[in-house]
Amino acid sequence: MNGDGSMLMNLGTLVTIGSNPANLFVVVLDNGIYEITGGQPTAGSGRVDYAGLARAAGIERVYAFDAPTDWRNAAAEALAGSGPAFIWLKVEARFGQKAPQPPRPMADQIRRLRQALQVKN
Amino acid sequence: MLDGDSLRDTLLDCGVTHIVWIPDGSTGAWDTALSSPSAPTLIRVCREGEAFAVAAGLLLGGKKPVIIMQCTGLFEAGDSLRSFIHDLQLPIFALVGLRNYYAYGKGQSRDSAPRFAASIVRAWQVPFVIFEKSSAREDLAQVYTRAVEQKRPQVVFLAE
Repeated sequence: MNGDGSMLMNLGTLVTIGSNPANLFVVVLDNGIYEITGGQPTAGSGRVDYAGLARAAGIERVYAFDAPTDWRNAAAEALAGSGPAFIWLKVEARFGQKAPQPPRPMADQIRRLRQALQVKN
Repeated sequence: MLDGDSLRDTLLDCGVTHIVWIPDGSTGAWDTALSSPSAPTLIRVCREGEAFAVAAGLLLGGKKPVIIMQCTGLFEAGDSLRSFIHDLQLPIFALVGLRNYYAYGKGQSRDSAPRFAASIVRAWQVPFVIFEKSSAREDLAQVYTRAVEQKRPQVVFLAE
């Protein structure tokens, strides 16, 4: 799960994903702003074609949605099967919201993730 | 400096599963060895900060990755290193090409990269060693094994 601002900071990762196919689903929530810093527009806000970037980087399964109903209708298909897949969700910017905090300490999150993955070492 | 075949065989002997790589002018010569079918899985990434993220994911998934990158890229990857090594406490192992180390030592280079490399890694509180031309594959195996046993990160500078 990525924001558009975060995606922009490392666009090269799309090429890495396209070059090293893995069962990975990248979902970009594009609200066009840096919400956490007060709502400044991201570079290229409203003009960047993230789906086009993903395709050009070699990712074959690419989806783009800008209406909630379209996303609801196609989400099951987009999230099914094997990755890599890229999903671009254009979402409405909301201002003045409190930044969400992680639900638990990082060490706990790591332990739970590794447990879920059945990693023993 | 180690050649590509020696490095690959050493990493295999150590149980390394993945090499996350961005080449520099010296380690680029290892391409054939690192991309051979017998090598650990090679993942070519685009940026050094990304290399730490990929290595972190592999570690979380139970794999044993090693990063190979250049020192100037390591400088830029500082926040990624800080996050994964210090906040997430992941014992990432990185081989870092230290360009112009010998030329700088002889006063024959004005490149500032070798001047800052050790100081920066020391500031980031990551244990490091500098492998010079005389270092052998056994030295690398020993440093890797010790880092794994102690579950801590390690940077190995490869003097160039």
